[in-house]
Amino acid sequence: CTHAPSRPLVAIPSDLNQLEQWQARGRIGVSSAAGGGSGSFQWQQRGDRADVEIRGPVGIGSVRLQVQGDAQDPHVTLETSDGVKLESQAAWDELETRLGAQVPAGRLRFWMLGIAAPGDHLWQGAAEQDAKILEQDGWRIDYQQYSDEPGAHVPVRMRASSGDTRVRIVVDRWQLGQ
Amino acid sequence: ADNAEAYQRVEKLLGNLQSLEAQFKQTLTDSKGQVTDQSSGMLAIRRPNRFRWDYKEPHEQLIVSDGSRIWLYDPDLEQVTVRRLTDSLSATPAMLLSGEGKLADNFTVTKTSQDTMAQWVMMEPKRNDTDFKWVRLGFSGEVLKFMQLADKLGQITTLEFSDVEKNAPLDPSRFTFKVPPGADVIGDASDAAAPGKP
Repeated sequence: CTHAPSRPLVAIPSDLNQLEQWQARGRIGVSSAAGGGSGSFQWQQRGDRADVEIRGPVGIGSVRLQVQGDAQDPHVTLETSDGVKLESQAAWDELETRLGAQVPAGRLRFWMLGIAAPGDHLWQGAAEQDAKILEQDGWRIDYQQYSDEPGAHVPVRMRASSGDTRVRIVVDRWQLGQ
Repeated sequence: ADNAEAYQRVEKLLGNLQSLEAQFKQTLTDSKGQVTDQSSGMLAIRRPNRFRWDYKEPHEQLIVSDGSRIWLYDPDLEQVTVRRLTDSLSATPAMLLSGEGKLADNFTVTKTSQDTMAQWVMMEPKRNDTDFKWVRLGFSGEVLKFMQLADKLGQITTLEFSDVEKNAPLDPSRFTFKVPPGADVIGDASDAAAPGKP
C-alpha cells in the first residue's frame, strides 16, 4: 500500500484563537513588592478550560490551578501540596497571596500564545522584528523570543509587568493542537 | 522493633556524615505514576545546614543554603528567591541530610523494607506544616543511594545518587551565594537580617 505522506497529526490553525487544545511546560517567576517566587509549570488548555500546575523547586510547595469559563470572570479552583483546596474567590486570593501578585488567570491563556485576550488592547513593536509588546488590562507583555519550530509561531520567552509586579515565563516545550 | 533498629542505623549513617557530594538524577512522577519531569545535576552537603543543589539538565537552576538562608537562582528567569532557614524548613529532605537536629526530633520512622535496589527506611515529618507526607531513604550498605518524597498532591520526587563521596573536605565557598548582576531578587537578601552567623 502506498505510504500516506505523514501529515502533521493536527493542523495548527494560523489564527491561534482557533486553537482548541494546547500544552506548554516551562518555568514561571513572579516578583512584586509583596514577595513572589519561581517554579516550573505545566499548562494544559482544552477549549476554555485550563489545568495549570506550578511546582516549586525540589517539591517545596506546588499548586494545582484550574481555570474555566470566559476570560472576563473565570471559575478558579486551587489545590496546594500542603493539602489546601479552595474554590473561586478564596482560590483567587490564595493564589495571589502565594504568588505575591495580582494574577489575570482568565487572560493568561491568550497571552501565553502571544495573542491578545478579547477586548481592548494595543500592540507595539515593528511587525518585522520578532520582539513585540502587547498592552492590555494594565499589563504590558514583552514577547522577547519566539519558538523556531516550523508552523508554531508561539512565544518561548516573555516578561509581563503591571505596576511593580513582574512575571517572567520561559516555555521549554510547546505542544499545539493536542 | 526493627523501627528502633532502623533509627539507629539511619542516625549512624547520617550521624557521622559531615559532608556529602554526589551526582543526582531526579524523577518526578504524578499521582497516576506518570513521569512528568526529569532532571540531573550535582549535590553537595556540609553540616550543619549547608547544601548546594546544582541542577544542570534540562536547564540550569541552583539552590544554595548558606546556613542561615536558602537561595534559589534560575538563570533563564534571571530571578533569585531567598528565604530564611526557618524551623518549618528544617523538616525538608535536604535539611534531613544536612540538618543539625537529631533525626528523632523531626521525623518518625514508619516503615523499613528491603528490595534488590536498597534497604529502605520510610519516615514521616513530626510537623504537619511541611510540604511532603513522607520521605524514604534507600541505603546500599553504608551508602545513601536514593531519597524519595511524596507531597500531598500525590507527586513523588525520586532522587538517585551516584559517585557518592562522604566526608571529603568541601570548600566552604561552595555554600555561599552572590546575587548575579541584573537578577531580580525576591525576599530579604540583606546580610544584616542573618541571625547568629557562625
